[in-house]
Amino acid sequence: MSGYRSLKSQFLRTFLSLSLLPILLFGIISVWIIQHQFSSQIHKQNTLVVETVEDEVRTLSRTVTDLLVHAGYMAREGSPGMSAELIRDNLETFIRNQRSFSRIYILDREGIIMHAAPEGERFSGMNMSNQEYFTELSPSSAGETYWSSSFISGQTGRPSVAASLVSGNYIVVGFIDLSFLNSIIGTITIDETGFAFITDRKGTLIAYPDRTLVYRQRNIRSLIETEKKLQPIPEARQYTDRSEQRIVSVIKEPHTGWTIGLMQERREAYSTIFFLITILAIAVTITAGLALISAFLNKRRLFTPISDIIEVSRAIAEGRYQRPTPRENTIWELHELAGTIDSMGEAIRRREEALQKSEREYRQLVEDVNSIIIRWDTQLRLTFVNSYARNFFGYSEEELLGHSLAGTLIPSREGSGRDLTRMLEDITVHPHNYLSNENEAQKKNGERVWIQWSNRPIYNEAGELSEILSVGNDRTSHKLIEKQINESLKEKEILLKEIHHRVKNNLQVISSLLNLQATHVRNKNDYELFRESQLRVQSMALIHEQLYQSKDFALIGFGEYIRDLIGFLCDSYNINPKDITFHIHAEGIYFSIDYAIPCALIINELASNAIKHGFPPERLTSAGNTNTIEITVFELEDCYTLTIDDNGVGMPDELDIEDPSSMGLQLVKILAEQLSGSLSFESNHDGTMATITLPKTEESNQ
Amino acid sequence: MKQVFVLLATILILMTGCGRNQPLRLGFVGGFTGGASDMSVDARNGAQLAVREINADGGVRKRSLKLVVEDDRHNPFAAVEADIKLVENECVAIIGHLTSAMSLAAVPYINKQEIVMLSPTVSTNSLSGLDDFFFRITSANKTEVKHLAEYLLADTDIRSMGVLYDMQNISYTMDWLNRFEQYFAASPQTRVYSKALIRSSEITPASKLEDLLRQDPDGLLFITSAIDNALLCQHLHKLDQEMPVFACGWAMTEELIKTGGPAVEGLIISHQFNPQSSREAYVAFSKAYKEFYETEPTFAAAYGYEAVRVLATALEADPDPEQLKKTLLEIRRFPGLQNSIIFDEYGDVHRNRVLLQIRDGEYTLLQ
Repeated sequence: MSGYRSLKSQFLRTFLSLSLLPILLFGIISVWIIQHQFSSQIHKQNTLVVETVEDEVRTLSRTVTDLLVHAGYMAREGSPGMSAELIRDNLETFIRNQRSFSRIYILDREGIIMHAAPEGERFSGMNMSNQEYFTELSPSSAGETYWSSSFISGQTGRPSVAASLVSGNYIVVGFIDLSFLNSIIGTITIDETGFAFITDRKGTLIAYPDRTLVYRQRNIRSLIETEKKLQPIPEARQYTDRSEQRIVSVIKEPHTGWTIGLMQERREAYSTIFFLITILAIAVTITAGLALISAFLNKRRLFTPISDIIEVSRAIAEGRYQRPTPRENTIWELHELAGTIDSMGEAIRRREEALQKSEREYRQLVEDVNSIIIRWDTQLRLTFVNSYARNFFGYSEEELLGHSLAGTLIPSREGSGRDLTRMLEDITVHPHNYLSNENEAQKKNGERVWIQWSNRPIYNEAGELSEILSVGNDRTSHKLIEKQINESLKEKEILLKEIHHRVKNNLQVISSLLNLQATHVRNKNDYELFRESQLRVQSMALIHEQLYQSKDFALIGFGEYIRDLIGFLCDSYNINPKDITFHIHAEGIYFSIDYAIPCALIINELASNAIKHGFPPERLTSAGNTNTIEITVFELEDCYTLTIDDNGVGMPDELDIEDPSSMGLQLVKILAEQLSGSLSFESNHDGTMATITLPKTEESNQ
Repeated sequence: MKQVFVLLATILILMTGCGRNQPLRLGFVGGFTGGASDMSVDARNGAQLAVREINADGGVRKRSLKLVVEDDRHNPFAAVEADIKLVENECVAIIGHLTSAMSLAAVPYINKQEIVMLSPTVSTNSLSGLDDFFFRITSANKTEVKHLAEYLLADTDIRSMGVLYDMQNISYTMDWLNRFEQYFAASPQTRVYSKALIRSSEITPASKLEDLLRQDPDGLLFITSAIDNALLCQHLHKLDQEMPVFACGWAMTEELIKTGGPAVEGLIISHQFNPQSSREAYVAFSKAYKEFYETEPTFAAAYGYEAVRVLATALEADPDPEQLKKTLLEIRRFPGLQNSIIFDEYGDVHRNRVLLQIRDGEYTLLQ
């Protein structure tokens, strides 16, 4: 299954990517938008509040500056004429009236107190040049008030700051009790946990709802741990503490250097956001839950029937047919598929039964057939042996299946010496050369038998030879009969040869007797009669000689015979081969002995006539003549045509062909008639051509 | 389905969040009421800085530290009340008090409660050599007094000393004065003239000073807070009296220089804190402190910082508060900003001293 993704896995991925992830993404994006929008709104709201407090502080700053300017004016204007005591009195009156300052110093440019109120006498003359309100005040910054860091006043025990201002040659320092600031921030509350606070330029609290923190000079940075350093600027900023429990909006008032801030529990500030996010989370969770339930139901409707179908399909594949479990609430397509698989399974079951029946029948047939049926692979191993073969060879199935054919059923060598193992190997290489094959086989008891095999190659799906199917029949008895026939035939051939030989010898004895007898004949004509008879006997003896010398005792190659006969005639008539040229055309013509002997006698007579009468001695000796005798045997569709054509002097005019007086021509005529043939002569001064047409009979070439 | 379970589990963990340990509470008590609160403010700021640093580094045994601050209002009764509040607030130890009088008032209570109190600044000899729950970063003032007296006798011609001492912190100032008389006025050639400074009195510190000047001492010693010291110097300056002025370690704050101005130039203090130390730990602390509070650290700030570090080290070794005293005494040696803090068996320390003189508006080494 590796490499294939399961439908369940695919369904899960699809479910995650199309249902769960979009829901979660929607939730995350919505949370981000809500948070972003509401954070911005909270920031704006808090900015508005801190800017309102900043306005108050700015007003205070302006008032203090005005008062310091006024105090400086009093000191400057009073200096030339007024006594120090009077100036101190004026300053004390000023402090009492305006109530902003708890103490005022008028310093010279060296930082020495010129006038002070109250307790002016005690402080005047003290050097305050190390004080922040003196060191940090730029002499050139006339009209600008410097606000020192806060401190707990030794005089009042309350948080205070010193505001200093360059006024002519003096520096006016006013000490301001900051307790009143709490009345400013006290009015500002947001919901239940939001409150305002003010710090000095170093972050030390100077107004805070919990006043003890102010008295203890707590630094705002130690109250809230922000990721970025709390660094207020004239533009409102918002921070969240590290534990994310509170949010702080701060702004810096540029004249005093104070930080005005608003702090609120994050939980409360973001309560609306939390509410919306909670609602959204519930909605997303419910949607995701519904999606999960839907997925679960789909799983039940989809995967359970699919599992059933897979199981049924697997069972069918393994040959165990079973019907799918009927499922309610499944989907239509799967219901149909289950039905189709059920039908398919049923059809397969039927086919399988039919196939099994057919196979049983086939097997029965193969097993019961009276032929040897075996299959063997390219390694010569037997893969199938039918029961007939097992019984025939005397082996059990176990003794043959998987064992090599060579050495069991087929001996390594045939009786004739043929290497049968090599033959078997050759069959696996060139199976088409052995489609029909006969060889020796061997039974378990060692008995050799002859089997006629029909071999058929069996190829696998790749087109390679996998097995050979061999069907064999026992040919042992046939082989025996064949042997006997051959032996009998051979005996007959020998006998026939002997007969021909004896006939030839007898004919030669007769020829010799005639020849011997001829020597006692005084009359030339008689002598010729003897001689012709001798030639006739000799021509028949030649036939038998040809027969016993040939392989086929039934037929005589007639062309060869004619050549031997002509040679014999020439010898007999002392014809020089230079005097008469013979052309013989009879190749491929074979006659049976019954047909050959009459034909031989005919040719003997006609050729002898042509030699004796066609070419008188004067013609043979005269120069310039080419003497030819042409003997031709044609085989036509239904007859043989035999012609003896010479260019001799021709037949004498007085010769009656139809009624010849010579024995030779009579013999020719009789023999032609005997063979149901016809005889014709054409003769003139240019020679004679005798034509004998012999019809084909059953005896002619059998 | 495996992936779905993993996803759901991750979401659940993210939604519920990881559990957090409750913070480890350290009490801090000092005098934040009135004009002499600068030392308490500085010590508290130093302690606060140490708490922030330790928390940023992962806390003590993965628990964050929380500093719970109370005000003793320079009042012995309020001091005990403040300690009771801190104990009720389940603080594992108390850093404080900052003045000897408050510590003397508090020690019986903390011994009864068996809660460790580690003072950054208290140097009274009255709490030396006691097997109690009181520990301190500052060595007892007898060493300070002796150091100053030895300097006066050995290196100056001063043989008569006018002394003004604060009655609000009398356990410290009287002890200081007594020790000074013991070391300085031991011989017939030396003499000490002393006047008590009562803040609530109608008599101003200036009049007390003038009374003292009438004794024509060779030098003046102010055993007061920084602000009083500065104002006394200013007044002396106003009276155009040029004479060597000496102060106790209590006064060594920025307020002394700011308020004293040129009037405190030349003033000499024996102290164990060197503001010009170049020790790596101190330089780092000084930098962080200035960055955070935008002001120079004082000895009180440094000792407040050290007190938290000492307690954090001990709690890291053994977080059981009931074993804290034992743990502190077992560890004994703790790294300090300028030198090591080594407790004796009574929880007292001895630290090297230096003589500081105010020159050009700064504390500088005299020796």
